[in-house]
Amino acid sequence: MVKKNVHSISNSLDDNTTVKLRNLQSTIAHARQVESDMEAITRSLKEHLADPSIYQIDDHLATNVAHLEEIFAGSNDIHIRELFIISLQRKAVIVFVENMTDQAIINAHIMQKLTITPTNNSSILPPQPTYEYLKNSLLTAASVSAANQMEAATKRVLSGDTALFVDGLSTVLIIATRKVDSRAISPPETESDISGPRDGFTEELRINVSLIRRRIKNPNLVVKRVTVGQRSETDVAIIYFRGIVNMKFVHEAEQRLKALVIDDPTVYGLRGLLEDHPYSPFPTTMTTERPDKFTNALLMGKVGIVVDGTPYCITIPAMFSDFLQAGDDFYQKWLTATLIRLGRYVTAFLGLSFPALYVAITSFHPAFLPTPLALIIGTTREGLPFPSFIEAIIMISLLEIMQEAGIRLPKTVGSTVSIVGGLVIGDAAVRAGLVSPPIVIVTSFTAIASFTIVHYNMSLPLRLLRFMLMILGASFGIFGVTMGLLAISIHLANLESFGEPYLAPLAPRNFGALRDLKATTFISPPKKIDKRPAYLETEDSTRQSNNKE
Amino acid sequence: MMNHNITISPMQFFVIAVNAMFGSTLLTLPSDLARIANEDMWISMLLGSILMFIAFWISVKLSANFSDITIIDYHILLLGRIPGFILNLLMILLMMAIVALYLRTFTIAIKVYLLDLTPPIVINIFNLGLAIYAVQYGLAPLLRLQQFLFVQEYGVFLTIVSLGILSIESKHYQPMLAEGITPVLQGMIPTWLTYSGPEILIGFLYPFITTKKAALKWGFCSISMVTFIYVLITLIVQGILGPTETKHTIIPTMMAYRFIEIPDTFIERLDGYLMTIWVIIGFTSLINWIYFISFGIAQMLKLESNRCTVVLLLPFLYYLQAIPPNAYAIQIITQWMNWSGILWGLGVTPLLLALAWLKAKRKKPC
Repeated sequence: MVKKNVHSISNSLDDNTTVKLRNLQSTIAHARQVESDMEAITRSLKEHLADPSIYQIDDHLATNVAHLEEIFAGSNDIHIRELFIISLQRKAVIVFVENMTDQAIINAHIMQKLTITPTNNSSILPPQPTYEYLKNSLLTAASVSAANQMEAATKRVLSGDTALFVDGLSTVLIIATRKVDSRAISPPETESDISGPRDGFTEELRINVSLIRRRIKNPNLVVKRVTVGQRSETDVAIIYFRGIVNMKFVHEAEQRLKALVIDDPTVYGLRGLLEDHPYSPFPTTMTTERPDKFTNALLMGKVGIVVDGTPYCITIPAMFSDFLQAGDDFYQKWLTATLIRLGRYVTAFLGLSFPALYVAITSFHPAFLPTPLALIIGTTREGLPFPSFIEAIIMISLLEIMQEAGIRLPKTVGSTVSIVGGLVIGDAAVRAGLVSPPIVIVTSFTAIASFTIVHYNMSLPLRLLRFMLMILGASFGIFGVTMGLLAISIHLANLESFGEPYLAPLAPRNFGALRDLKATTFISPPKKIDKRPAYLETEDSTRQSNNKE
Repeated sequence: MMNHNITISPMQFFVIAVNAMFGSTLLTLPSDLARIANEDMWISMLLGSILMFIAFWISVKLSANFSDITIIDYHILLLGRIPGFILNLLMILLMMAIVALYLRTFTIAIKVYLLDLTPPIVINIFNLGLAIYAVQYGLAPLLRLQQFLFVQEYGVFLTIVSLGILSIESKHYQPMLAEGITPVLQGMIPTWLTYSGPEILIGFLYPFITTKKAALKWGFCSISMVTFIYVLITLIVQGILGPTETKHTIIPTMMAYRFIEIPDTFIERLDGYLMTIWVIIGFTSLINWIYFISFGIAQMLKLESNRCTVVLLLPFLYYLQAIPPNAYAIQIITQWMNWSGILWGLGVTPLLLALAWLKAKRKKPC
C-alpha cells in the first residue's frame, strides 16, 4: 500500500517535472528563434550590400525569383520577365539588363522559341527540363552556357547576357545577348603616327580584343579573363602569345591582378597599381592606344592587359627605351628611323636638362661658353631684375601652365592659349624687361624637345625632374646638374619592371645581348631584326628565320 | 649587398675594371710623370701598363685556384685566420686610401674649376651621399648604372680629349730618350695608381664571373683601353703645355685643356667640359671602390648585408681625405701609395700565388 502510494506520488512528480522540462525547452527554443530572428533583422538592417555569393540556385523558380529581387533591389533597368515554356509545361523567368542587351536576340531566339506551341507531340509527355534539351532543342541563340552559382549568373546578367531560370532546374542558362553602345573605332589621339594604321582602341573590351585578334589570326594568342574591382567587377583580359612569352610574366601579371583590392580599376588606373615601384616618377608599365603597337609587343614576348572601360591597354614588362619608340619607327626606312630615334634620346635629355644647364652656366660658369656667345647673353641679361634661376623658373612654370591648360581646354580654345601664351606673354615679358630673350629661346626649345617624347607618361617625370635639376643648377652650378643627372641614372638603374631591369637593352647583360639594341635603340634593316629581345627570355627567341640568303 | 646568386659576364667585368681604373690620377698624373721622365713621360705611361698586365695576370691565376670564394676568404684559407685577417685589413686600408685620395683630388679640382666659393665639406658630402645611394642596392644595379653610362661618358670624354690634338705642338716631344732609359723606367712607378683596380677587384669578382676563362682576356682589354686613353692624354698635355710647365702645375690636364682655342671655330676653353665629364667618370670609379670596400668589410665581419658598412664608411672616408694638410702632402702620400700598390700587386700577390701552388701540390696524391 505504502509502496503504491510512493509510486503514485513519484509518478505524479515525474509527470510534473517532465511537463515543466518540456515547457522550459520550448521556451528556450522559442527564445533562440527570437534571438536568431532578431539577429537576422539586425543583420538585414545593417547589410546594405547584396552579396550574390550567399544565394544558391534553387529548383523552385519562386525562390530564385525572390533571390533575384533581393539581389537587384528592384532596379528599374533590370528586367525579370516571367514566361511559360509550353513544350516543357513549366514556368520560367528571363533576367536581363535593359540597355545592355540585344532585344532582337531575346525576342527571336529566346521568347519566341520558348513560348512556341509544339505541333505534333501533344500526346507525348513533356520532356524533363534539362540544360541540354533547352540548349540543343529550344533555344536558337548562338552562344548558350550554364551557370550553377547565383554569383556567376548575376555577373553575366550585369555584363549584358540574359539568364534563363526554369522551374525544376537548378542550372541557369546564360544566353549571350550582349550589345553595348560604344564609341566607334577612331584614330588614337595621344599616339599619332604618319604612316601607321589609323585604328585605335576603344573603351569596349570586346572590340579591343577583336582589334588584336584581327591582326593575329593564330590559336596561340591566348585571351584570359579575370575580374578586377570589388565594386565594379571590371573585366580584364590578360593577352599573350603562347609559345613565345615567358610564362613567368603571365603568372606574375595574373597574381598581381588577383591580389588587387580596389573598387574600380579604371578609376584608380590599373597601370599604377601593377607597377614594381609605385613611388618612382618613372612609369614601369606601358600603355598604348595603338593595336599595332600592342600586337607587336605581344609578338616580342610581352604580356598585354586590356581593361574594359578604357582605351589604354597595358603591356608588360616596359623598359625605359620602350618609351622613346614611336610606332612610326618601323614604317620608315631603317637609317632615317634610327637617326630620328637617336635624336629622340638627345631631345629627351635636352628637354630634361636644358633649362638647368642654362641656369648653371649663366649663374656659375659663363666661361663654358665661347666668348662671343657669353657676351651676347651677358648683354641681353643686363638690367634684368631677376637672377637667371628665377627667370627660368617663371618661364618654365608658365610653360607648364600653358601645357596643362592646352590639354584641359577644348582643342579649338587650346590652340588659342598656346598662341597667347607663347607669343604674347613671351614677347611682352621680354619687352617689359622681365626676362631675357635667351630664356625665351631656352623655354621654347625645351617645350619642343619634350614634345618629341613619344609617350606622355614618360614626359611627365622629365617635366618634374626638370625643376629638380634647375634647383641643383642654381645651387651648385654644372656640378649640381651633373650630380642630379647621375642621381636620375642611379634611380633608373635601380628600377625593375616585373623583375626585369628597366635599363635592360641599354645595359646589356653580356656581349650577345647587345643585339637587342638593333630594335630598341637603333633600327636595323628589317631582315636583321631576327631575334626577340634577350631580356624577355622568350620561349622562342627567333623572330624571323628567312634572312639567310 | 652581394647576392651570392648573382653572376656577372666578362663584359660587365670589363666595364667595372675600366671604370675602377679611371680615378683621380687622370688630373694629376702628367705632372708626376713630367718630374721624372720629362719629354719621355708618355713612354713611361705606356710602359707602366706592362706592370699592371703582369699584376693582373698573377691575380687571375691566384683567384683561379679558389674559383668559388672571394679574396677575403682565400687570404684566410692560405695564411690562417689572424694573418689572413690582417692582410685583408691592409688591403681594405689600401682601397680606402685610394678612395680618400680620389675624394681629396676631386674636391680640389671642383673648387678650382667649378665651385670656388663652395666649402669642401659640401662637395664631399654631396659626392659621398650620392655614392651611398648608388651602392646600397647591390651589385646588379651598380653594374647596370655603369653599363648605361659607359658608352655615353667615354664617347663624350674621348671626343673632348681628342679635340686637344688640334692644339699640340710637336716641339714638346723632343728630344726623345735624352737622359737614357732610366728616367723612363722610374716614371713607371707613379703610373701604378693610374692603372690600379682590376688586380684587386678580380679577387672579389672572380667567383661570380660566368665565363671564368674569358676574365683574363677582358681584363687585358680593359687595361689596354685605359692605357690608350692615358697615353693619349699624356701626349696631349705634354704637347700643349710642354714638360717644364706640366711638372710645375698641380692639375696639368685641366690647365692644358683650358688653353685650347681653335680659331674660327666654336671650340675654346675645354677644361670645363672635361671637368664635367670627369665628374661622371670619377664618380663611377668611386662607387666601385666604395662598394668593394664595404663588401670586403662585410665579408670580414661575416655580415649578411653590406648596407650598414656602406653608411658607416662615410665618416671614415671623409676623415681620411681630410688628413693631408696641403698639395705637397698629397704628393708624398700618392708616392707612398704607389709603392704600397706595387708591393701588393707584384709582391704580396705573387707570394700568395706561390703559396697556393705549393698547397695544391701537397694536396695532390703522389
